[in-house]
Amino acid sequence: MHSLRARLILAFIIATLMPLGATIWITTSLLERSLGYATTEELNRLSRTLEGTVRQFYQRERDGLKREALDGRVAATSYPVADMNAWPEDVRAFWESGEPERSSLSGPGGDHLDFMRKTNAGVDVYRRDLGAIRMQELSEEFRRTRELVGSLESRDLRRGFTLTLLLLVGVVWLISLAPLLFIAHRISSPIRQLTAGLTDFAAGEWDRRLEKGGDDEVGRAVDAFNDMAEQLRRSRERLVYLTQMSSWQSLARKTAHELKNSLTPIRLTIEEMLARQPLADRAFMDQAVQIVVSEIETLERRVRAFSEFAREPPANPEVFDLNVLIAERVALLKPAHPETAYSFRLDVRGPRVHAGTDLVKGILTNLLENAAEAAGPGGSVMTISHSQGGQAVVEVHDSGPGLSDEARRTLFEPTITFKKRGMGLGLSIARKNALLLGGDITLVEGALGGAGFRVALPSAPESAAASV
Amino acid sequence: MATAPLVAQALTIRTVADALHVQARGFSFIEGPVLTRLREGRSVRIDFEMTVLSKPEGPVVKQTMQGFTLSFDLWEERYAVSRIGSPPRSISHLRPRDAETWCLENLTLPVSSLGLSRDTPFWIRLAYHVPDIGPEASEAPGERYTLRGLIDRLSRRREEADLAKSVDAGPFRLP
Repeated sequence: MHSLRARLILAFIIATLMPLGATIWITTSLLERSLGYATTEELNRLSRTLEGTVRQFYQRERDGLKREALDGRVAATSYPVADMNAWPEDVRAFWESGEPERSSLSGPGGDHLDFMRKTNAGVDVYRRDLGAIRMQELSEEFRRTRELVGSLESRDLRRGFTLTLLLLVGVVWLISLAPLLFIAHRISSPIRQLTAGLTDFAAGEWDRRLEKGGDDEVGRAVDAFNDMAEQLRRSRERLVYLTQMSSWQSLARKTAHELKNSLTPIRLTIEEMLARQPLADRAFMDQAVQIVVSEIETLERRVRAFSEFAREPPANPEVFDLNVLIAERVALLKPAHPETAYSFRLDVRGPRVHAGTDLVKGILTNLLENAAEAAGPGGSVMTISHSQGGQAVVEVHDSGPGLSDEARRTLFEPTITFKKRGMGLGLSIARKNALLLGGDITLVEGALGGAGFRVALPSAPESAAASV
Repeated sequence: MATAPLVAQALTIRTVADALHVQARGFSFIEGPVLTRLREGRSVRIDFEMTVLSKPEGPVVKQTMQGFTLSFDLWEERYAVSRIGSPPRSISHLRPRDAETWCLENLTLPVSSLGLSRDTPFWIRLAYHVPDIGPEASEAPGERYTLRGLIDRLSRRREEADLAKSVDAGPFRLP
């Protein structure tokens, strides 16, 4: 009885049994009273009295007819043996019986009484009219009455009615239980699903989602669960990413420090070696030193990149128009990539962002640089801005070759590349900064056939946005 | 009419021509519920069965069955009996013992069909069965599953629906 379905069924049973019991009690009480008016006993007594009276009447008439016949006061119809073939059936039956005399009823419904007597010549039959009293009909009616009384006496109507009532009510009740089971199942099923979903989610199944059931409270709870699960999944991913980034930053900081410590004495030593070199060997030495210094500068550039990666920039949040920032960044980038076409699909309402401007500038610069490089000369880059779900969104799409599956999988992980420009840390830094601002960068379907990135940033509150 | 040797038992036999008759002293069936029903003006059907056995409780040599319908004249207080089957026979204005005797007289077995010699002993089982001696079902066949039929079935008191009795006797020998 711990499940919701069992409780619903129990509630139905409790809620219906009481009125059902009361209904049965009232009905059986009324039945009891109505059956108290039954007249079976009266009918039985009356029929027996009537039977006795009719029998007395019959016997008196029979005896009277017999006396009159024997006294010769009533005329007889004679049936001579010679005409036996023409005798009525009852006369013949009497003749064949061993009885010397017999009384029987005749006429329609038995309204005549016959007295038959055997004589030497045959059978004499004396007849008396019973005065429209049809004895055979009375006999039949008495039989029916006795049958009725017998039928009533052989039955316990009180029990029959009560059992029938209980049976029918029980059947109806059970039938009504069937749809309840169905409804209880329908109600409890999404709740059970929700509970199972929560249990699975708590056990670490971060991708667990539930099917939307309907627009009722349970359906809304399912929606809330799915939203919550999605937010938790994203938050967890961000947390994991930031934790990883923190480790990578720490490693980069230490590496940069160690490299920096080594590179400075190396450079000084090389320069000292060049200064002390005799003039005769100077040409070769100049060339060698130039190579070594160039490599040292490359290493120093990488050390600076590591330092930048390891740096925790201040956020300094402020409210600004995202469209303005986009236009500024694109204008800044155009001279470096003059053969790339830039297009815009900006929200005319100008999405307001509440974030650190420098960080957002860095993010946009990185994405636009990457897009321009991917698009190449003659390619195109499109920038989109809009507001969605309380966030200001900017998307950067390029017409480049797109990203491989491997690149998509490790896109935001910090790597060391041998690109002429950049260290492969740009996207990592951009996503870290976006996360620090309360937003995120995600990969989306490219609108120009290449890659597409979406940056979600916190929107400025209405009051703050209005004051800008 | 030839009479078979009497045996000091409830049953006696006699043969008339090729017919084996049985007589039963104290084998009354117009009594109890049958009598009550007859006196209420209702007819009663009684099915008789006469079985010739080669041993007590042994294999059946021959068996015959015959049904009768009894009725009671309320005003004359006499009984009427009709033999069911072909050819039908009826008799009326009988006293109870006469009605019982008439039924047994009309229950016969052909002696020639028994295949018994005069020295071969045999036993007889006489039985009767009164079907549906209980109250008549008020429901029509179509009303069995109606509300009325349901009330009728559930209100019926438990009574012995059928009445039956039998008596065995022997050994007998053909005269």
